[in-house]
Amino acid sequence: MKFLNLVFKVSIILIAFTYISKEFLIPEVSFQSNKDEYMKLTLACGFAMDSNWYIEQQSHSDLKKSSEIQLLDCHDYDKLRKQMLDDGISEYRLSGLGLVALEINQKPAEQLAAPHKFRER
Amino acid sequence: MRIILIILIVFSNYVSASDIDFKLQKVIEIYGLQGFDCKAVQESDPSLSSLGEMLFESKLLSGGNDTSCSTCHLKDLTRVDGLSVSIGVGGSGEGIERLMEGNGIIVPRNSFTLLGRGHKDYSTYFWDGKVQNEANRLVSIIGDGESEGFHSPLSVAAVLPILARDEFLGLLSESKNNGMESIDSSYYEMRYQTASKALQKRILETNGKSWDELRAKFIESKLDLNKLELSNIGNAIASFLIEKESCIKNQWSKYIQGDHDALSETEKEGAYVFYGKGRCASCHSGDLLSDFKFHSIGVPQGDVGVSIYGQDLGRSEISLKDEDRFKFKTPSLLKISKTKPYAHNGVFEQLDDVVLFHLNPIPFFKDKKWSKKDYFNYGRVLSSRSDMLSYIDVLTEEDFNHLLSFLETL
Repeated sequence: MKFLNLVFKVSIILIAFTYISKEFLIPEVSFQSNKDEYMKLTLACGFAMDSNWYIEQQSHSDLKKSSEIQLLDCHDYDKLRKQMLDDGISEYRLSGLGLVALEINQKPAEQLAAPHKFRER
Repeated sequence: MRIILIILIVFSNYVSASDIDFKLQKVIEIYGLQGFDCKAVQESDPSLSSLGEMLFESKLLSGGNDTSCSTCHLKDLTRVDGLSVSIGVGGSGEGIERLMEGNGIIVPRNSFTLLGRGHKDYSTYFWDGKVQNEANRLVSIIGDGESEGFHSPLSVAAVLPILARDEFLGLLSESKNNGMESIDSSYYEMRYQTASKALQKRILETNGKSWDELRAKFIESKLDLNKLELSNIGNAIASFLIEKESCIKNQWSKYIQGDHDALSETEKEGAYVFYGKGRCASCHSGDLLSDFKFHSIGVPQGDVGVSIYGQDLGRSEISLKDEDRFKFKTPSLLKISKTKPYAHNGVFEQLDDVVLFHLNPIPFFKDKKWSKKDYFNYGRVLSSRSDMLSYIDVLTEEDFNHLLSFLETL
């Protein structure tokens, strides 16, 4: 009886741990460990697609080859995105991360105004 | 707690940095790279190699007996001279000594390395392409080459310096006395015949120990001095260069041929930049890292040049076409990190200077004093800059440094 009791408790603990891991811990760890790379690849892929649009309008074949190589950044982006979705991170959260990536190069007006303010008079 | 975190990371299928080897495999596929093939060489006669080496090192072919091929293509300097522009006839010493000594005549172009120049796909020689292999037809300023007995484009290229006043023929005062003046005063189409006769006469008739040794070498190589032609000299020098200087074993070739440990991670990232967003391979293409076409990156003219008023109009000096002004042959990047300075006039002292100039020419001028000519002329040069440079997407210092690391492996 004691043994069954132990097996039951261990099973409950394992199920609970698995549930918590799958629903909360793994997505959070995946998010924290991959977010920088994800944002970097979001930018790199956007840049590669943007350049490709213009390069495709050219007739230079070697320039087009270089653009195809650059687009491998998008392959990396797709792979990481699918991996993170697999880890349980929601589409909404990834979209949010994508937006943050696009905002990396935005600067608040305050930063531009700061040098022009009196610090003492 | 730490153990739990590690377990979670493992279970969360942590995706590490993208697989750079996978990307480079795609590079190799898309660009059809095979690595430098040492066996793929131009036609040559190996029995002339020893004579070619002697001719390459000998100053006897120059008007003032003061210049040899090796004067500007030094073995210890990866077959360049380390100077921005070379110092030809009238000079003495090697490398920087020639500049300091001050009596030599400036040859207003940068000396390029001769390594790998005997490769069968190496099709265009000199900064302005004055020797070219066009669809298996030899084209040069002294004729089609083949009818004159040259074995290869390299053979023709090997003799052109001998026909140039600043590089070999010598000062007018000297060349009048030794018959070399007749070469200088002929039109280029006639120079082959004139030079053949003048050199034959000198080699047959000049007395002295070193001349005797040279004559003996010709005989040893089974060349009849009474039928000596310029092409014999070109073929011999080319045979030497093909046998001794044409095989390049670099890390990038090893990687292409399957050794994935041949490059560090940084160098691999640099290769990805080179073939991708750096757009470098749009011109520096193939296993020889050149498309052998003519482009302009807007290199400043500096103080000396081969064209009128000390300019250097580049390819248009040969083609006479307006669209070729200020364009130069895409240099092969083989051994690039060991062949400074860079560009047709050696205006870039370091590799990072010339790489950055492709991206943005302005920082180069920030710390340099404009030459008087460039101050008034550079607008014309700038307008010739290739459109392709506008597609370079190297926007971070990290990418730039990776690119430089990769160039070291070529």
